[in-house]
Amino acid sequence: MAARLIEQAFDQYNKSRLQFVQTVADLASRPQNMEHLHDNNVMSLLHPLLMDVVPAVQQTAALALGKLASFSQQLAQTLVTSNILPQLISQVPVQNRFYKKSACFVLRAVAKHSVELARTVIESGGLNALVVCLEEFDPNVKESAAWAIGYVARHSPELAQSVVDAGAVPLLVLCIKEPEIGVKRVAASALSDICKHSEELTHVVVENGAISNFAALISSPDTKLKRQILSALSNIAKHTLALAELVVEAEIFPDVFSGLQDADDLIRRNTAGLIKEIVKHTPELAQLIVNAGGMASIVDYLGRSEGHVALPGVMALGFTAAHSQQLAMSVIVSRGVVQLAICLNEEKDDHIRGAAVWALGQIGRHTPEHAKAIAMANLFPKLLECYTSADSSDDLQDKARRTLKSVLQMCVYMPALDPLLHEAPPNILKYVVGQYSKVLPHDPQARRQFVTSGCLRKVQEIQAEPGTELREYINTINNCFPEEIVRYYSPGYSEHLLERLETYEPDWTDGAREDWQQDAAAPSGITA
Amino acid sequence: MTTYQRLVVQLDTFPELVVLRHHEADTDRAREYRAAVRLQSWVRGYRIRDRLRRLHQLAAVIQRHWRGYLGRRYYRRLLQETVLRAQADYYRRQATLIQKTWRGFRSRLFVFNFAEWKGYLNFVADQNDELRVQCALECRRLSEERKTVCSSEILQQKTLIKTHHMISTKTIPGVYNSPYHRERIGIEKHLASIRFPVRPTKKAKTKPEDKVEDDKSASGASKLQGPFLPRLELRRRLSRRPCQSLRTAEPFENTEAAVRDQRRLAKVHCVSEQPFRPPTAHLLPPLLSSVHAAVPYRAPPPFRETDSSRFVGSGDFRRVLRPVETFDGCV
Repeated sequence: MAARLIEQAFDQYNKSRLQFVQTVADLASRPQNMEHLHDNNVMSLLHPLLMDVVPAVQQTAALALGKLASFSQQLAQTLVTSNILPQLISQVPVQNRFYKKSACFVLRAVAKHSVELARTVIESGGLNALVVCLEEFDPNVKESAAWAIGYVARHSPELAQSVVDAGAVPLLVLCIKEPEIGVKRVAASALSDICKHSEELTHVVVENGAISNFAALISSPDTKLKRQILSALSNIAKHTLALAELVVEAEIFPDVFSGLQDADDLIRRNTAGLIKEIVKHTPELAQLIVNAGGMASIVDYLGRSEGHVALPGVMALGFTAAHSQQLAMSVIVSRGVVQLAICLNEEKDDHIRGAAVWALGQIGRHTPEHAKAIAMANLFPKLLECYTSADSSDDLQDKARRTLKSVLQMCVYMPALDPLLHEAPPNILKYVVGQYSKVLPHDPQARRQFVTSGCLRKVQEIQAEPGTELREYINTINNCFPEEIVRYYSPGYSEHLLERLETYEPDWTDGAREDWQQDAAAPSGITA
Repeated sequence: MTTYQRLVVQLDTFPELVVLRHHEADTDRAREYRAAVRLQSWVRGYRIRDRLRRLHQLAAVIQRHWRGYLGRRYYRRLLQETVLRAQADYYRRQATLIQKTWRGFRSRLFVFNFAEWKGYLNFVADQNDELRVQCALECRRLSEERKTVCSSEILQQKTLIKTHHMISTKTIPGVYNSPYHRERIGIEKHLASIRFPVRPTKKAKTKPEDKVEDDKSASGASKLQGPFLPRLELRRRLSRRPCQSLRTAEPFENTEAAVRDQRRLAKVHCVSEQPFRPPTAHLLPPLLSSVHAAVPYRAPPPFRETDSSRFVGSGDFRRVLRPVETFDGCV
């Protein structure tokens, strides 16, 4: 009888503890409750429940702690300072998979906020616990552990190095082969975060055979998985040429190009990022992409993306065109210049406009044919506006100036240079006038056009000190025309003519002048 | 006598006759003189003209012959010069032909080949179009695959929801429950992870009515008894996914037993720690996959290879200098 009463008392206590923990876990799912929970000192209450006898209480307490920590950095800091982490971590190898999952969730929630918190997690021995969890069979535990590792590695290269030193990378690569989609996603994301920091880390990842696993998953229909795979591949390819070649040799092209036309924004952006990282290393890789027809895909993708989604595509075009004039002509043939002009018109953000301006500069700087393509798209006034407008950022102005300088020095298409002559500031004007001085001595048609369109007048009005390049260009241009025309168009010529008119007396009397003057001087007969 | 008589008779008239005759001579002297002058001048003129004409004729003969000689000499020289010029022009034309052909060939080989350039650009355009088509197909395939996956998931969820009551509990182990496995496998696992959907259509229909009713209650027209939750909040709580996995999976009395089971299962599932490789792995050649070979660009072959009838010599064509592979840094 007494035993039953005692049993009942203990039973009740267990039940009430379980109920409390479950309620707290439910409440912690809602952001508006967080403040009140924190005021009620929930951390110190949950701390002893982590070592509870009843495993369900332990697991739910861990879950509640994780939810609290993931809400804000402050709560995570409180969790760390309450010294909960070492106890949590020490229990992990011993406990069952539900506890492990909750513990990984707590570690993830703490590590995701900042570098210091992640470092605290590592110092408490969290990485070993996470690696133990990664060796588990339950896919949920693996997912949770991989997620936590990804968040730890994301912040800085040192943290990523410690993750690699703990031996997590082979296990993560094994996770990718798991049949569960969630585990694959999270493992891909974690590897992507490790690779993005430095080359050595990427080598470790690649040596474990990550690339072939990624390549096998490129054509999977799952959206989130594809995003992570593409981001991981681009992070691998971006460091050196050898890594980019490894990525290419995994035969991801031409399957990857279908990602550029996907409905999802992030897949398109990550695919463009991957292509950009591959293209920027050498002309051969860029030629590979061009030969496979990638330029058209990128141009189409630019047409239907905007804002930060379009940025990697613009940079990919720029990097391709920068290598050689053959590749730049391929970009032009694929209607890249037209699309970049549209981007420049429609985008509001200065970063993307700067990137578009830079890419146009890379395309146009090779030969007069390329510069003509840029000129025909009516881009010079737009570039000038980017350079001179007060709204443009410093970066955009600088890029616009460089682009104008490099493209103008190659441009011999006269109709496009005429509007620039009227509106350009002096440092751009000298390139425009220089181009005229190169073309006009050889082309009579252009000379005629130059005079009739009023450009000669404008050139005469330019003030230039003798000895500067601008003065020499102007002299060269003036030498192409007869002196009378140059004088006629020089400023102040009409005043000069009028002055001459005032001092001029016409001689139409033919010698009867003296008589007439005498008659005028002699007193008139009538009045006298 | 007669003469004397005639003369004596005339004697009276003789001085008058003499005077008359002198007068006649005088009166006509000027006239005759002028006549004589005229005749003489005419004759002189005639003679001189004749002489001059003769001189002119002779001069003309000389000049004619001289000019003929000059002309023939000139013609001969002209002829020679024309022939020489024609020959020089012919050789010049032949030399131009050789130089033209050689320069064209050399610049196309070593400097810039416009036909190849145009061919390359057309190739890029063709590849672009081809890839566009392929990508469109691929995208369509992916979206269809996503749709089928999605629809199969939806179908699975629907069937599971219809049989959600077959889940096994502690007191009543269900039909799909296997007594040999402590944890859920197969259909049991899916039954445990059912997500009950919030019914969107009903919500959409009653949303304006809800709002109207709430407004009514707020304005105090018909006050409900007791502290009830608002409708939407209540519905959200009822349709929330219950977290069952932690509570129903494990009996909370046996920690050690659960840990023991876990360890036993781990030992059972783990067969070997070596990663699997086929036994003949060491015999396989290393896989050389090159995308370079997948999409080659090859220039069209020169006529030597396609049309051998135009080939002049007997041996094969040998280049003295090596051609440059790309056409960068030129034009």
